[in-house]
Amino acid sequence: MTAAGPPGGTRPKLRLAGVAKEYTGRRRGTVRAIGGVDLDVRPGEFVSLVGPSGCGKSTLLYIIGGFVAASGGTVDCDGRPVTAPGPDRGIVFQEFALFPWRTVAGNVAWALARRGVPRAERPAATARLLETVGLAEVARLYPAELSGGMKQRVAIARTLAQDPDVLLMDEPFGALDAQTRALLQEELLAVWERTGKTVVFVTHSVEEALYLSDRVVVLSRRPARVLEVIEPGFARPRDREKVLADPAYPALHARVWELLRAGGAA
Amino acid sequence: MSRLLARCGPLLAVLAVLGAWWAAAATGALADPFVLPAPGAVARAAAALWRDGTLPHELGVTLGRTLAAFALALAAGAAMGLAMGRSATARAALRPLVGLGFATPKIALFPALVILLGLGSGAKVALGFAEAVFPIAAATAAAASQVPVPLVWSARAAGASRAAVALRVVLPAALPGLLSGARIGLVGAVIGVYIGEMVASSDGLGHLMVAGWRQLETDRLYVSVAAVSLLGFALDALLLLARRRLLRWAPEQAA
Repeated sequence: MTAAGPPGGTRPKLRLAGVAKEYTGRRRGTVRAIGGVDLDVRPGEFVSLVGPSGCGKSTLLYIIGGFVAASGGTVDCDGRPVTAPGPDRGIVFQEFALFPWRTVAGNVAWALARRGVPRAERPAATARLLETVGLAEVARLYPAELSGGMKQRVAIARTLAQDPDVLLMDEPFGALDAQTRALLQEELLAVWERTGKTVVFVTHSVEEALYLSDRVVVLSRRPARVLEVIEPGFARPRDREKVLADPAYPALHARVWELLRAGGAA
Repeated sequence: MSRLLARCGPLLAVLAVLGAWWAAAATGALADPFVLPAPGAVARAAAALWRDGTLPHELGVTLGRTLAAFALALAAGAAMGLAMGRSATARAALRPLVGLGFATPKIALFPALVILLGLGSGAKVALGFAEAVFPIAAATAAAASQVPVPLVWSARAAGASRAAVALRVVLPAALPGLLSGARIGLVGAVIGVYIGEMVASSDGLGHLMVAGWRQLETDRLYVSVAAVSLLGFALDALLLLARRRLLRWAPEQAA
């Protein structure tokens, strides 16, 4: 596999070099989940990871986050090796992972406090962040009182509150209904365009990856390797209808599926 | 109608038990009045003991010991449970201890506790503590080990230290389980203290019971039994109230 580097000469935000992961289980022996992934992500880029189910794309994301240690290779963020979780890399999970004992505002303010935002400034900053995700009205509710889409908006606001350079997203819209999902995709793009964050986005939806991303990294089945990197190249800011109507779209869609089928054949 | 019944149900049940007790005592069907005094006789004995200050004093002594035993067990059990739930080392070290302590008949330790701590409150508090601490530790450990990983990771990514994660993420997430253990532990504390007072004491409700028995004043014995039951019931009700407040955020837990 060739290194999947970005065009141009800027220093990458993230550099993955030969990242590998093996699990040693008692019953199944050693399982190779990730078989050596090279990938550079440039600052402000939106990169999606797609691959067959169970190929280790979420694990790769957790390694970038510093939650899981790689068994081979290195991950650098801004040139520094990643060894632990850090506020420069925020994460959003499919299952929202809100603190159920804190209100919506409390969840966001908690992340502000971890960043050292003074107490007096937190209410205004919280309100601003909730405004960003369109949730100003529900600040005092508890997560249990929200719909799935609202919960994920809160989770995004909480992650933005830690002001990370890199946003790691683990199938963030996978648990939502189709309409909510489409809305949140648009809102995410708007936030991304405004904030200039670097996004690494794990998804099993080819449509979602093509619509959102600058580059789509297609991974093979286990042990995961980079099969191909696809650049959709649709004009920004993107409009869903225009993307779907673009003459290049069907071929890109077909190409990703072809790779997934080839890489995912059991 | 059914709502009325639901409202009055508990009261009716208590009245039914009292009625049955009264009937059994009045007819002498179950036993003679010395073995089973009528409810009225027990109530009169209770009123007399309340007026002369005996009952408030013994109740206060037992309540104080119970609260001390429960508070110590809550602190130690929660700390042990959190450690066991989050650290493999602590789990390996503490699991046999908690498992053994859970199964040990705590009353068997009482003579040793008396030798160590004397005949005062210390040994009774220790016995109440021993009854309460293991269910709290076990329930907290189970709850702490089931805290969703994404919750912990989100906190770590936001910059929370390991200590902050333990206190501000794992502890609140494990709170429903901890409070379930605390309910069992609280009743255990009442029982442990009461039994300790029965075996070797000069005060407390347990002593009142044994004194009534030895002096063949069975109505005093029943006053003590009723008082300690009501004490446990009231403390449990307070704990449920606190739990409802603490778990406001989880509607299904607060019920």
